[in-house]
Amino acid sequence: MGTIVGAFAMSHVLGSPFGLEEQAERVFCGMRELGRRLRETRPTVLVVITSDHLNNFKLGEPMPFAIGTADIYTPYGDMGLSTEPIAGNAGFANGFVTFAAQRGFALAKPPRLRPDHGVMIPLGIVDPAREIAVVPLYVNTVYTPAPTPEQSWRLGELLREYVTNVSSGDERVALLAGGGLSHWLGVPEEGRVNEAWDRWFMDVLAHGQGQGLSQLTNEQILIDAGNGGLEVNAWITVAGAVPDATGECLFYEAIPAWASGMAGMSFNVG
Amino acid sequence: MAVVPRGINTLIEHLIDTPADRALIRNDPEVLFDRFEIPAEVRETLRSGGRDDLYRLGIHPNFVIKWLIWSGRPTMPFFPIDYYFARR
Repeated sequence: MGTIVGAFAMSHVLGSPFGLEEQAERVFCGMRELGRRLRETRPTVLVVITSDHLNNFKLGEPMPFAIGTADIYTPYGDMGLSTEPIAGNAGFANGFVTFAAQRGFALAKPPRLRPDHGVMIPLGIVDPAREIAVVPLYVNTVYTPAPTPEQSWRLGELLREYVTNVSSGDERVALLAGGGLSHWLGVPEEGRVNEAWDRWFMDVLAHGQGQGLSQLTNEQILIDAGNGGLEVNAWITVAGAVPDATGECLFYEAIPAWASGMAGMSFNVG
Repeated sequence: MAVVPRGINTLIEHLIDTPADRALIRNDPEVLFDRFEIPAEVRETLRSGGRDDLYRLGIHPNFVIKWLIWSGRPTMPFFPIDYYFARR
């Protein structure tokens, strides 16, 4: 039996610090603290759950749920991020694809995956030394229709079952959701942040009531948290993997200049 | 939301896969527009339109952001990512 040793969630972008240096620093320090806590769990595998930004997926070939199944990845390098290769874990990823398929949940395996900032910004912060094998698990909310909260929660449940029942006995698995919170991007409302909704969302998770979030609809999330806010489905996936776990908000900053509610959480696992 | 005009998705997906061609947006956009058969009536919007103009054409919001960055008129200011990662 493998073990989920840690579960975390954070925004997967950074913005220009110029003119808001103190706020940017609070975000970055919060992210680094999240990373410190994640490394303390001594994971052997890190599952980064996030949405791609159509750098690896085509609009005409929807893959709402997908997973990287390689042993090595060359990052896409958007936002000026490094393209230095990172280690994957093909065995873990392919095993999960089979396990999920047997339970009626399809995970696509995109060819030539080059993780973009959705994976690489969180990873660059939590594992700067590149010591942990990464499995990119995509909840691709860039599609319409997007993966739903109910489906995302189910994916998390399956991930927990896979880790605890099937994966190698010495596997120590950390989960990290990337994305959110509320943001409107590439649309006329860009720059809006719904801090009240963001804090409500994190409060629900912090009290171990994430299952209730699986009953949200994407239509309501779009209204309350914007098109980018649909990325909270990655957070719901993590919550589905650690149901009833309480959590702690490590940082929150509403930053209209970055068009994002910037947030990070740590779940109390084990 | 409007239906995205012919060729735009294919054009932007080409530029995602072929970064070297992005310079054509500023230097010779007609080459790209011709190659991907972009309708004449939307070319000016692609050349000089803002976020909301592009969104009204029905372009996917993520593609709107990419197009504006490659065109040199991003909605958010550029910054060096090493501001953060150089001290990670």
